[in-house]
Amino acid sequence: MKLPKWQTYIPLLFIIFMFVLPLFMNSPRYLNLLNQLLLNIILAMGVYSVWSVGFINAAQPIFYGLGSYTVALLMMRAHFPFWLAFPMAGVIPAVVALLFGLIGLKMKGAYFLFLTIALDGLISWLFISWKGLFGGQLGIFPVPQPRIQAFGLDINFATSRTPYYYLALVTAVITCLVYFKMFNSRLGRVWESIGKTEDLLANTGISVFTQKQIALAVSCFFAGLAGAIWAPYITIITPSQFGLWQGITIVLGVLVGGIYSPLGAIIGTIFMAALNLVFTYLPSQTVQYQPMALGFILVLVLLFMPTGILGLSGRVQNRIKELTGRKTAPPSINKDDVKAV
Amino acid sequence: MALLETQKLTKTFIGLKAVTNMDLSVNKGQILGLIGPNGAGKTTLFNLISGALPPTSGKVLYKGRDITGFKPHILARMGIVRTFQLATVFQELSVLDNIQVALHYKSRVGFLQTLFETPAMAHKENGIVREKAMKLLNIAGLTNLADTRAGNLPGGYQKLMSVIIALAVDPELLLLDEPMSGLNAEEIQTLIRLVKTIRDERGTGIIMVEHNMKVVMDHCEYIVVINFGQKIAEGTPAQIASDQRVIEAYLGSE
Repeated sequence: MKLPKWQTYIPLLFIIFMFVLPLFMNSPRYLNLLNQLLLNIILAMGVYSVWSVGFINAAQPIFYGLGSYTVALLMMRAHFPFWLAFPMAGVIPAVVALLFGLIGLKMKGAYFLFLTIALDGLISWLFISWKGLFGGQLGIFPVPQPRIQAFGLDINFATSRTPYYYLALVTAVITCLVYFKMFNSRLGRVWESIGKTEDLLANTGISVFTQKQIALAVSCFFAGLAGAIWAPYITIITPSQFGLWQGITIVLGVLVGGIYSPLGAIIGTIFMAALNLVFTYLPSQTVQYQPMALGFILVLVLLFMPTGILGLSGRVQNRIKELTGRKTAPPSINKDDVKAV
Repeated sequence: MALLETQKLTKTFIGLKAVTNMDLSVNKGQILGLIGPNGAGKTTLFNLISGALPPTSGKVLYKGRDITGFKPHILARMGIVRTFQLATVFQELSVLDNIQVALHYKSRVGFLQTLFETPAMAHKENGIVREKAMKLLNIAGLTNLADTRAGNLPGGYQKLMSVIIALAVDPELLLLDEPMSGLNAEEIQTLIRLVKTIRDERGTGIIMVEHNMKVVMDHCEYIVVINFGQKIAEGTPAQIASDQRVIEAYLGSE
């Protein structure tokens, strides 16, 4: 992916914009939406990366939930400080993902999707039934708030929502950096070939299964970290927060944004957040129709822009090129190109 | 010692014996032709040797070592590399990227290294891999097409590329699955020259499944004929051409 010079600064500007945003938009309501948006972006990046190796993971919120429960239980039962529990909340979902991958990643695409749905059911059931550990339907309450006291700073997460926003933002930026670095590397080129030409890839000495395991485990690691921010933020975690519906919404966001680029995952997630914002302005009687509207949007997207919002911009560019006559010619092959061996 | 040897290799699909008691051996620098009518079990045999399928019974020995049931990527690392009939190249990638992907295992870049290498390191490494890839493309004279999307190339070029992709993995034993199918006479000549260059320069052993009789007769040193999963004849091209059972298998007996 070669970008013109000025375009490389867009992500940087966007990050700076996100950093100063709370200075202008500090109402709890918008901060809440932004916070959820950032956490969803972390999940969506993971869904995209697993998609890039050929699978759809509808159970991403389950790994997010595992992160939430991990951080809550470690802090409440084992009295871990938040900053120790936080990385653990990434490690445990990643380990669960690796175990799940032993079975799941041996499957072909659609079967993996069904297995993630089964995993979602299984772990949701564990959250609900294992009352001694997870607290059943009522969940866990109250999750302790982190507090930073260092270098003369005293940031108390209990008194303000803003520290959470910055924690989520930093985590999201790191997640995106990891993924963009990954996808623009030599290894990224290999990942893009997984799920398409697997046999050929294996015959070049690459263990396709290992690469899939890495993709899944890394995505679940970051999902767990996102969950670890969510738990103290919301202070009460219940199984219903991590359902299949949330998983489908995230996959939908990635689809709408454009599944051929990690940027699409971000754009799609922002789109879905904006849509949710619009929904909140509608009268409360319409709540029951929201899933229907979402479904309708998915059908429209699949029909009219299978490459998503991002793909749309490419198509618009092509159209402009066509109109201005600067169409890129298809590569022509000259017989003389191939020299004698 | 033979480079590769199969001993009583057998593969049974529920009730159907696809390959039965196959004994095969290929030496360093030898081109072995594997022929037989459609459905004779040639591709199954290939899959057994390259690790895509586990055999029901029998053994595969590579340089005297038992490699039966090894996975394809392990075998590729050991030097047994195959090409495919259909999925010959990474369609979505550029010609150059195809070769760079094939070079990936050799460059040993893991996930963590990818994350923590500095842009300068990445740039340097990319340069090295790129140079290697261009050298390989040069062997087949494909350097001018480096930036073309591989899927847009005509079939003949894709077949050439598939051999170069295999070459990038440093094969000691190269398995070519119908490399000449769909090629015109000129393309066939180019591909044969490429295969022979590889053999002459590196001493690579080659097993070639091929339907094009002229190619097999002219360029293979040894030929094995199989039908209904069994070896029905083997020998030099001259011996095969006059073998009664081979003629029957291909033309039917009176």
